[in-house]
Amino acid sequence: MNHVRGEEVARWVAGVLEDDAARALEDHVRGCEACSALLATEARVEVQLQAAMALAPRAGPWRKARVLGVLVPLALAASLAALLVPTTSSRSGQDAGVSDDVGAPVQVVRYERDDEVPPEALSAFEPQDL
Amino acid sequence: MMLADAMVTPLDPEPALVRRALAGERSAWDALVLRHRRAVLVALLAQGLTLSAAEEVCQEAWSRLWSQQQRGGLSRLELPGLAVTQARFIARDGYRRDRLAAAIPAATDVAPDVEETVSSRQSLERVAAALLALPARDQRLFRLAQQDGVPHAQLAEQFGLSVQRVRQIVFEVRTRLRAALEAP
Repeated sequence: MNHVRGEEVARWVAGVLEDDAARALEDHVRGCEACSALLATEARVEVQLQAAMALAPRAGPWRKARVLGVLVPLALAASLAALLVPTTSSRSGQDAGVSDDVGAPVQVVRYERDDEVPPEALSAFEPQDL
Repeated sequence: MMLADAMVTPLDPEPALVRRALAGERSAWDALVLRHRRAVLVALLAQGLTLSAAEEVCQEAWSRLWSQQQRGGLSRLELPGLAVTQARFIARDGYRRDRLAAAIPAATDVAPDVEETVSSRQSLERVAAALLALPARDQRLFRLAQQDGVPHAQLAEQFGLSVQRVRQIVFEVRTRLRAALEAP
């Protein structure tokens, strides 16, 4: 197989590549440093997109104007405020705890590249070192 | 007590699969592993692991979660977050250190500087705004697929679309959000 194309990698990461093509891509990437780097880059993009989704509240169309007009500016302000407060604590970048409730307040997520552990998962389970 | 395994299909809703997995039904567990495999791999790849290393860590993570369930130590199963947590723990803890050390970049734990953090935050906010500006159907479909891990076949049935069309929408939306992320 030739080197994989960027779009194929993006499709794999997005989970929309057909099974056969996905397996072929994986087989190639395991033995190709350049394509492995491409995959890592796209994976980092995906983590950022996940973090952004956590930042955006779920809303129906009737809420969109309010969300864009009020909640997003509030999130921006809160984000800037958060930057002024030094902290070493971890927050979720892939916050699985964002509410489906359209009335829920925006959860401002301090994104960190290697930090996407949902807090509620941590409270529910301690990782095991066997 | 191990329950008799029932058939699992891609259309099974997540909560039902989780209940069955927590009750010890292996086929439901396997279905959840398959459903959330990519999300866990992507999280590890983003950390700098190679695909082979990520697959190994991923397998170990699911295995430990299953063992935990078998010991009765798992009362909730929020996926993919829990599996990502476990996998990252294994990666960070240097699981099979000799084999993985080279695959985990030393810079993983280096905190970004303020400028990078602000830039990152602005990018995320642009993406969030772009997501909220999408048609309601596309936004909902994309979130269900990418945030909740709902299988495309299930979404196709729910939205009255073909699986191919679901995938097309997911990728188009992702492409648009990616552009927002990278916009200057």
